[in-house]
Amino acid sequence: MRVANRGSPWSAMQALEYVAGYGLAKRAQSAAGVVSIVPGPLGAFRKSALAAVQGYDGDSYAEDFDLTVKLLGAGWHVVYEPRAIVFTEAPERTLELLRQRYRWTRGSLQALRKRRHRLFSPRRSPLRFVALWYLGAEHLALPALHIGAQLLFVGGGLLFDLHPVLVCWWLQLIVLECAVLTFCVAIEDESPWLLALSPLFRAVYMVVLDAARLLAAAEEFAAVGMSWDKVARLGRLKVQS
Amino acid sequence: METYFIFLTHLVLFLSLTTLVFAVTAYGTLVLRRRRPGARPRAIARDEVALVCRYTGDDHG
Repeated sequence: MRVANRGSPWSAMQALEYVAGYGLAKRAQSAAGVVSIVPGPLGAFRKSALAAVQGYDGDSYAEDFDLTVKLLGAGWHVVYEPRAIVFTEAPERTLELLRQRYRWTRGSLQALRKRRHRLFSPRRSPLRFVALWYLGAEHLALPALHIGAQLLFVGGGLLFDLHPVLVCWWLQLIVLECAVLTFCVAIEDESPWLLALSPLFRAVYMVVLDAARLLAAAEEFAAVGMSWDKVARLGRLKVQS
Repeated sequence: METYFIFLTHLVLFLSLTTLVFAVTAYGTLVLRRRRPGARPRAIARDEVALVCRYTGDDHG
């Protein structure tokens, strides 16, 4: 998936997020046949696989993730095909972006909760068992650790002075992220201009997203009511030929 | 070198703090908007063409 509208900082950073996700995580997951999501805009399925799991359930707010988890749980392989490309429109405003992530986070947790029994049956398929735990970690543990580390960093910095080693550690994380994103941009054959945003990608974009994920997860566990809050489409797709 | 590090420390701390505050504020705004959606319906421009019309007939009962 590629973001077509890259005119705003948020949509350009979502473009970079997709590049990082497909360039690294999805390729790694694909090697094991356990890609975590067949995205709604583009996916190809075996008819027999869809028939075996009875298609989309329609009772979660992330139907594509729900179907993928169902397929993985049923023992099917899910792989990434880098030659299949689709262009999508990303949110350009802060609240639109948060609205999108709110729905994705709560929908993903709903899908995982529906199949929580598989999280405790490792013997059936060890690889899928690990994959399901990884998905749980991706939606809960990693955002919690990220925001926890940020709070610790900021709190420590405000209460005590930041040691130069800590500042260097923070900066090396940004440099590491830039290196990873450079690799992903190269392997995905994407625009190198996106790399200009890579320092802000880790320092701002991922922090905002993980904070939103964490708060949305808290609302999911508190069973706060929600509706199908679709992101407004602006119709500003500009696809390069 | 020390001045450079002090500047860097403040920059990193400021960026981290403002990002966290921004994220929580934006999420709070989202929650408030969800609870109190805009009371006023969207203004329709005079030359706007209605692409979707709600069916109001009674011939399907």
